Amino acid sequence: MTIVSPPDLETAPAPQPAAPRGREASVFGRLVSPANLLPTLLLLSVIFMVVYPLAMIVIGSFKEGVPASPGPLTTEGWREVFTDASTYKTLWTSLSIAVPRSLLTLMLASTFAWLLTRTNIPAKPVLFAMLTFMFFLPDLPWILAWGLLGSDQVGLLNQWISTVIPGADFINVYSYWGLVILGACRGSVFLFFFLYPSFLAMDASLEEAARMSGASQRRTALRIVVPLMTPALLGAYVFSLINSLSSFELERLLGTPAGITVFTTSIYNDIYGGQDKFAAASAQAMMLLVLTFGLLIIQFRLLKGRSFTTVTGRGFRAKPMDIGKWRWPAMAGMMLFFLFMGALPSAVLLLQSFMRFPGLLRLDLFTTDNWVNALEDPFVLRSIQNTVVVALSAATIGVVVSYLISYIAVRSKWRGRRPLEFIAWLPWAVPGTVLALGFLYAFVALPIYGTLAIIVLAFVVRGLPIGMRFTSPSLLQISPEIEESARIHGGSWTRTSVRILAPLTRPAILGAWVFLFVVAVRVLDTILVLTSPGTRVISVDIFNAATTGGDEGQAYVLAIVQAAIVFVGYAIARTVTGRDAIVKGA
Amino acid sequence: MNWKSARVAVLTTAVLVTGTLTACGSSSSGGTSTGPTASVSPEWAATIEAAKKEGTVVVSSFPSSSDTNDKINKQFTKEYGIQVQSVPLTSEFSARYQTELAANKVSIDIRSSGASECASLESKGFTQSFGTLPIQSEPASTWLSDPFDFLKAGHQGILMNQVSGYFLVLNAKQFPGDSGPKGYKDLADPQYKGKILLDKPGPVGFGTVWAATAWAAPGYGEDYVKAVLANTKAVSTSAADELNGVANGSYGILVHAISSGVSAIAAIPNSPVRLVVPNDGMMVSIGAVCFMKAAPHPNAAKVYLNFLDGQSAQKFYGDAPGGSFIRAEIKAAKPELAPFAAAGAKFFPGSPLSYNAYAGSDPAYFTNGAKAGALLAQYGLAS
Repeated sequence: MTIVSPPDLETAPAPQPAAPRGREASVFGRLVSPANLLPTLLLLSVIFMVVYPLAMIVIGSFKEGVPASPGPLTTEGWREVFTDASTYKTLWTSLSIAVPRSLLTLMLASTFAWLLTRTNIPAKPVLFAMLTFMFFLPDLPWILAWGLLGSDQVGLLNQWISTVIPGADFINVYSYWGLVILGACRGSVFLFFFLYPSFLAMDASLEEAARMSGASQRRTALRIVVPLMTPALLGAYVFSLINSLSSFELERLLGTPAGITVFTTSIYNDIYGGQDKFAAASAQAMMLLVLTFGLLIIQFRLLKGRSFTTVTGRGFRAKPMDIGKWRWPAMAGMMLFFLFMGALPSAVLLLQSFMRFPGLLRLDLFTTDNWVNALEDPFVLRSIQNTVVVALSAATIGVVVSYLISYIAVRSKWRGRRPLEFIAWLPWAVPGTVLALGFLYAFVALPIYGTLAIIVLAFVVRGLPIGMRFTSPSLLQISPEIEESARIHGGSWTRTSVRILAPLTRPAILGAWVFLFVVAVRVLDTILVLTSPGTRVISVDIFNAATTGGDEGQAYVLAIVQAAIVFVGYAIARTVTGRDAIVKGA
Repeated sequence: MNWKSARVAVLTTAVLVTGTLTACGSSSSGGTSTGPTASVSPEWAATIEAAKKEGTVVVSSFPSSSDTNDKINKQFTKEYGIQVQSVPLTSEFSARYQTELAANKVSIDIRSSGASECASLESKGFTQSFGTLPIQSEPASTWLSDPFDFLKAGHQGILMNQVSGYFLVLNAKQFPGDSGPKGYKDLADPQYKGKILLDKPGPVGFGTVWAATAWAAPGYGEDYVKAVLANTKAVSTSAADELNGVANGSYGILVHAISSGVSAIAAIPNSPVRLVVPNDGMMVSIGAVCFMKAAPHPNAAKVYLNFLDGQSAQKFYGDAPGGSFIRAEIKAAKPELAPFAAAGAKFFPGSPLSYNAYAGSDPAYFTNGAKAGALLAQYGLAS
């Protein structure tokens, strides 16, 4: 995916004003005119889905009691947050984890992207497939596996190492460095797919010109590649910072047991830590939003007008840089990365799902009971079914909404297009924990609460920016003249959209669909407080089984099932679209 | 088959798979209605019938369901045709329940965690009376500990269903035979320095029970707690990690674990761990369940509560090694792991078989746990 921001879209051609025709009308009349009805409805929808929950967090921070209770107004939550020293410790901890993690993430991701796009590293397809596998491996199974592998003293890695070096206790993922390194390794795969297209599309003729002018390969890389990629890299770093500050699963499962608290887990603890401090949680959520929105603005400014500057269409066939004797070590390094961060945790998780007790891999402890018990439980089956239904619905609705918003933003001159686009982008900077809190406040008293619909809605909101990152650039790249031509020849808007635009943007649409499907299957933080016994989904079941103890076996089984659903979804999409179609959009 | 057809086939397959999953989910949520309705009062028979119509009871449990609980739930479904949905929740239960209650959308019928949380929920007015259950007519001699202790003290909606004891857990290789500590007192012996893994004392948890009980016990007290902390290698908050740590030899002694949580691994052949019944007495844990206000399936919940203290459910507790049952007539499958059920069982000083006596009305109990938690930093054990 090329990194695109709303300001980029301001430079886009806007060929067909969708203004009301032929009649002077009131504001309301103009809004509901046929040309404006759809944009107006979309604007109202995103206000309802995005602005309303965020506004409810603001209100919640000034209200006593749980959501839906008629508590009096108070500033106690804010007072508590500002006067409690732990708030500043949490802020410091959050930043001290996010900043180095994001740096490491960027280093890994940009190295992988550079190696696979600009160099002659061997086995590129294999390496790409490895990263793809890791990208689609859901977070929760991966974290659970690392909990087994990397526990202090008792982790499998320490056990294996201590057979060679008695008493060795090198690895402890339940620690500050555990959170930094594991978070970076996990995030780097995600970021790789954001950077990959930018590296791929970079104008290679500049590199060739430098080489022809006698510049060494190192000098070429430093003087040409790095400056060309700087805006994208800086934008990616800020993006990674936002992601890191928003991260919940890793911090909750590995950080909380070690006494490490960041904003997202602090918000969760305030809500669900047994103290029922919703106002304080809301106040902290506001503070976190200020941080992430600030970073989002920085990211937009960094990327303003730069998105396509490296894309000329001329450089794709450039000869890859020969990295000489470093080809093989580089390949080995990437394979080692995959081995430790992809294959090993996956294998351990699979084996553990067949063990009678967590943390022990012994033949005499082999059992299929975990699988039988899980798959015989009607409520677990219902959970799997709910997950599939939610993911299919959220992906489909999310793509349609994202596409329509992108279309209005890119193709129309409707007056409300900028607010519409801006609001749709807001969830980019809203951590899942915060969004969930907003949804809880906003919808708990409405009939939608306690149904699958609220989970679908949460994922649609969460997916709006992701969907638009696919659909907006895709629409931008299609000349408006094609659409105009179709209309001149009598094609209606619907017919033109279906027959002309949809086929041209199909790869982006399908790519967006896959991403939103994956998000809906594997993301936990956005819905953790929104599910109920009747609307269980796998990610929440895994989390609950893992954190309440006593049924880890079921957690491992469900983690495998979750990963399987993601991979099946990806495989189907890949069959339909081909690899490039998905990656291109990323 | 051309490319377009292939894509259609793939998509069709995906839809079919989804449909199949849907069908699986739907078909398995049914159940037969074969519950025992004979020889019961007309009122209770009516309750059972109403429960069957409700079809489901939702139980939020912490820890999440064990094999024994799964068996009990399946037995309940078999007898009454009512599904039991287990919803594992930890500290989030209270806030979640309050939110649902405020929105008039309560989804959980029964909370199964422990007596102290039930007491807290009851004090906030979140429990409701379950009326009179048939088991209440059984003689007092039925019970190891009176399950209606709380009820008789005027607290509504709480039923005790388990009496359990804590074991010391030893690594079988480091302490073969009957070597190693025999009781809590021995843990203060310097020979065990660097061997002990302690469940972290604080506001709640197994380590809190140890610290709070020992702190208040004659002959133990603060000095004893400090001596054990001095011997402690590490503290932990994860029951699973604790057991793993002792099983793989990273630690020699775990202080301490509830019987039902560790007895299964202790029972396997060549088990890496060995359980020790403390010779200075077992510390006691009493399990309780509470009936939540505005429960969506009130009749099913009442039938389930009555079932939990009945013979068929309690027998499953007895069948599990170290299982914690409350009915006196239940025979433990492994009596050596159920010493709390024996006549004249020796309990740790200050740990009698009464909820109110050890936790319900004694704030010092929790204060002592917190005091022990505050000492951890002095011994390099704070994380």
